[in-house]
Amino acid sequence: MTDAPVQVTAGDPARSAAAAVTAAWHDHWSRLIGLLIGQFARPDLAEDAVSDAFESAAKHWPADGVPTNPGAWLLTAARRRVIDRLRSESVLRRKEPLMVVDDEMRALAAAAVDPGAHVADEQLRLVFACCHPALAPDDRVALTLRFVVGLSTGEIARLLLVQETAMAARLTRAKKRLASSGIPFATPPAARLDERLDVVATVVYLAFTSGYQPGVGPVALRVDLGDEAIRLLRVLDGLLPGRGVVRALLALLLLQHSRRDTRLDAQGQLVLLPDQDRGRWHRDEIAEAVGLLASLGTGPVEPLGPAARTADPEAHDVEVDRSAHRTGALAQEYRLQALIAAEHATAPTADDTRWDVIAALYAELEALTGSPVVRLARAVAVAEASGPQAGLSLLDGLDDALPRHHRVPAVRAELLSRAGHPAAAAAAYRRALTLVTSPAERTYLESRLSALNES
Amino acid sequence: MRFVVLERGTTVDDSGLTSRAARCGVTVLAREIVRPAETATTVLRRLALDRPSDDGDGPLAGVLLLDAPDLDAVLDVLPSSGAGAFEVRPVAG
Repeated sequence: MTDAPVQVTAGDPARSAAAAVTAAWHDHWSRLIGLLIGQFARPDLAEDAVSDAFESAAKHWPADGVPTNPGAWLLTAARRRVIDRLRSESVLRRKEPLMVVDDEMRALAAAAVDPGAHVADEQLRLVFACCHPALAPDDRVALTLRFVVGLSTGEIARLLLVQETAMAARLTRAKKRLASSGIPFATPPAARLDERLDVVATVVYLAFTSGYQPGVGPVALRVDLGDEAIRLLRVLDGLLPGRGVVRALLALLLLQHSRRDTRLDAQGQLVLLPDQDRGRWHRDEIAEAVGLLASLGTGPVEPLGPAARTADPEAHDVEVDRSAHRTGALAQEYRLQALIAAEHATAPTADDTRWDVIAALYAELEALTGSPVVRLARAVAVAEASGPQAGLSLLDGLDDALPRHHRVPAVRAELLSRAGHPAAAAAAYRRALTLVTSPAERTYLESRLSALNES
Repeated sequence: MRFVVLERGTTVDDSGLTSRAARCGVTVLAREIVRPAETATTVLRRLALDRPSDDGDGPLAGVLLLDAPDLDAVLDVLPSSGAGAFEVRPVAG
């Protein structure tokens, strides 16, 4: 994230003020939350105060003009809110549990006057706190979307397909736990960093895919979650340079996101990869991802950066070695997925896709993860490279491993159809239709079935 | 003889404990009220779970009272493999 100053252009003051609020929200939300938690050790108050400060900015900036330093303005406003709340609490003699913040950090955060100038550490601490392993995985995603990305409860609820009241209750519980179970507001020590980065990466990936569910319907969001997830990874890659898991995931998400404008047609119907207009893929992002993958080398992904070198040599006991091994595995998994996505992204046309390379990458990925979902994808690649029969034989046993997954019968149907077994293919499409939940994918399967019946 | 007493329940009435202990020749060596169950972390092998321990985790085996900078330090101290479960809660206050 850069510290681009907010440019206020001449013209409609209300519009430029609104644009300044949006820009400040992008630049400063998580920094402000991080600074306030650093100073006051109260995640609940920090969140309310920053929300209030932005509301106040939305009210005052159109009338009074955008301040020369919006970040400093927001920090002052938010800090005042926290102090007001703390005062009224002490009148009530209410004693809330505090988050674990060390004294030095607290002093530094209290002295900061501009969230743009003093942020890197607070942002990292905030990410690691929200993704702490002592929080339930669903809570990590919700807290990260709220505290780090800055989405509202309603937006998070829609993205994660949960009722808003349920999401509000979950966030309240998670915030309480974040504040009072002893979770530190701290960057983990070097020996634990990779293990904890894996947790962070998993959360970011979940956040990214939750913004990408086809068939969720028109969701009016202030942000594109894909952009936000990529932005967050760029911040992490900047703050902790050269960590394999961050870089590999950044490459993967850039590649997936580069196709965003071609995934649905004008009617909102799903467009499959071979039929997408490659001219509308974002080439700059593909090039960046390919460059990132090249920087990761060809071997197993290892931590490359300074943190690996500064790791305490005494700390390399059996347990740390084991976690380091696991860390390498997740980075490697993302790297293989990204390499597969890069094959698709760099093929000049769908027919030029190097399916043999992709099938080999999927075989590597399946050996690494043992995942039946990977096997399914591998079956598709093998069918493209070596014919439908070779793909069909890889589907054996997958119905038991993925009993509710419509793609198993859908892929079988497609391969049976190509192998010249229309009746069996039709039966498999009908089976897939009993399992599919996404309207866009249902429409696609129905069209395949009717095409089969007509031929 | 030293005893461990576990206090259980959402609210616990242990009023008058100190004076009764003095009358009965009992010394209270340590007494801490922990934060509510929502703050509990249960450590099972390498996993940190966001719940209190329960009967499924086995019978009571012991009590540790630790002074640590934060939850991470406690998780580092607890055995990361082998049998048993550890419920960790901050002391209230």
